[in-house]
Amino acid sequence: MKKHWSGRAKLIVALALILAAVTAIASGLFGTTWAEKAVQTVLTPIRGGFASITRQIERYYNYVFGYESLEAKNDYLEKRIMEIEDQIRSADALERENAYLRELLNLSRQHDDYKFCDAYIVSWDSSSWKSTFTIGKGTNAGLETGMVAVTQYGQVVGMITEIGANWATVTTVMDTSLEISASLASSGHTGVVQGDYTSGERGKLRMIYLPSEAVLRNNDQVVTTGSTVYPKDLIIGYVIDAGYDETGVAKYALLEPAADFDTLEQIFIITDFVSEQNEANRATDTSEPTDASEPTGN
Amino acid sequence: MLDKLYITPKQWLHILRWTLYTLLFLLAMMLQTVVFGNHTFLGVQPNFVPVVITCVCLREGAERGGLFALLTSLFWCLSGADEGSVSIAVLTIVPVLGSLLCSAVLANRFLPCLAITLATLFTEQTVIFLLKYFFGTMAGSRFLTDLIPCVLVSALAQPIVYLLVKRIERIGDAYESQ
Repeated sequence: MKKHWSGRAKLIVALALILAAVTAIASGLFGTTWAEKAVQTVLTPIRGGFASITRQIERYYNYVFGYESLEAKNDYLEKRIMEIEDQIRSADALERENAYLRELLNLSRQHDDYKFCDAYIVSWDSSSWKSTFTIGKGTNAGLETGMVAVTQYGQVVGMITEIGANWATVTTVMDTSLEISASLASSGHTGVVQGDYTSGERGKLRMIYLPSEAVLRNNDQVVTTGSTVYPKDLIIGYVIDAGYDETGVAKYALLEPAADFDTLEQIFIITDFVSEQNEANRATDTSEPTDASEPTGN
Repeated sequence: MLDKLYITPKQWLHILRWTLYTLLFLLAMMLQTVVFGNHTFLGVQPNFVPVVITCVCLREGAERGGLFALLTSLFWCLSGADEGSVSIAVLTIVPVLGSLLCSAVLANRFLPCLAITLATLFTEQTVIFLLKYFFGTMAGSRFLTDLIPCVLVSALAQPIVYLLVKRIERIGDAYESQ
């Protein structure tokens, strides 16, 4: 093997190690580098074209083959609506939850302080260890890092963590690096929601730091507590399981995300909203976010 | 001067070959990030980019293939890949070493290529997984539930990629044999 191990092969291996070190250091020091921005800017139209073609094919496929699954889904949704209506009639505690739901369904009508910017998803990060996607709008459309992405129903999707002129990377709530201050809609107990990386199930969330006296029930809604980054009462997910954490003094809840990530095509970025902290910040002319929900990073 | 600018038919064929390799890489990248980015295949998200890089590197040799691996993995890193810096090192070094191993010991055939593709996929995913595990953002149990299936499912694309790369590699053979 030694005779095949030429000088050029050694040079390539050495260059690979140097470039790996340089990109890692540059990424750590400067975040998104100009080279990454350039590549993403070039790739975004190509990805947009591919995404558009993929959507058309999916729609055609669903039109042809999706009738039975739609019928089954319709049956399931009808049952689910009946269950929810029954719960609303029988349980006073769930009336509050129902009020939240109705408020969120009329999100844009009721929260006229919200300013939205819609965007289509052009690509997803394909790694099993990360949950981010790229949208086809960036600083040209007035977007900034730290802005929150929601569905048309006001369900939290994630937050913009990287941005370029015509693209932005949204880190979803399912990513383990994102932490959101949240509360249980039914009881008001607060905690922190983050992507779940222990259950091995894709697409689940974990609400931690819940007090031991918190009463958790299946399908309890979890909503944002409100901050300079996240508007109040945006729905994050539903409780599907609960228990005590490793310390035994705090509870955790496993959540099903409210947003349906499997069918997500279009999202809405909240570019501006009025909150108490924002108002205070505007009054004192300080605009730096003070929320604990920035990605923790690795 | 003009004589030097003239591109010979043989050079045209080389340009065509490397353009097709690049298009294959871009196609794999688009399939991975756009088509399968939000969907799973057999329960996992497949990883096609290492498969293409490894196959091209093994067919073209440690030098030319290695340079292709270096440039494409750098592009992959800059396109926003998860732990892209790791990808540059792993997706260059493992295929280059594999290519050298094939030249020296193994034949440059399908099965050695499959084995080295599996090694590349496994090494890349393991290093990324260990980094996440080290920083406490990944549970150790997901090594078995996510990583191993991801490697095996991604390797399913290897026969198709290998055949395509073999076809592209033959471009220019007829001209050179004349």
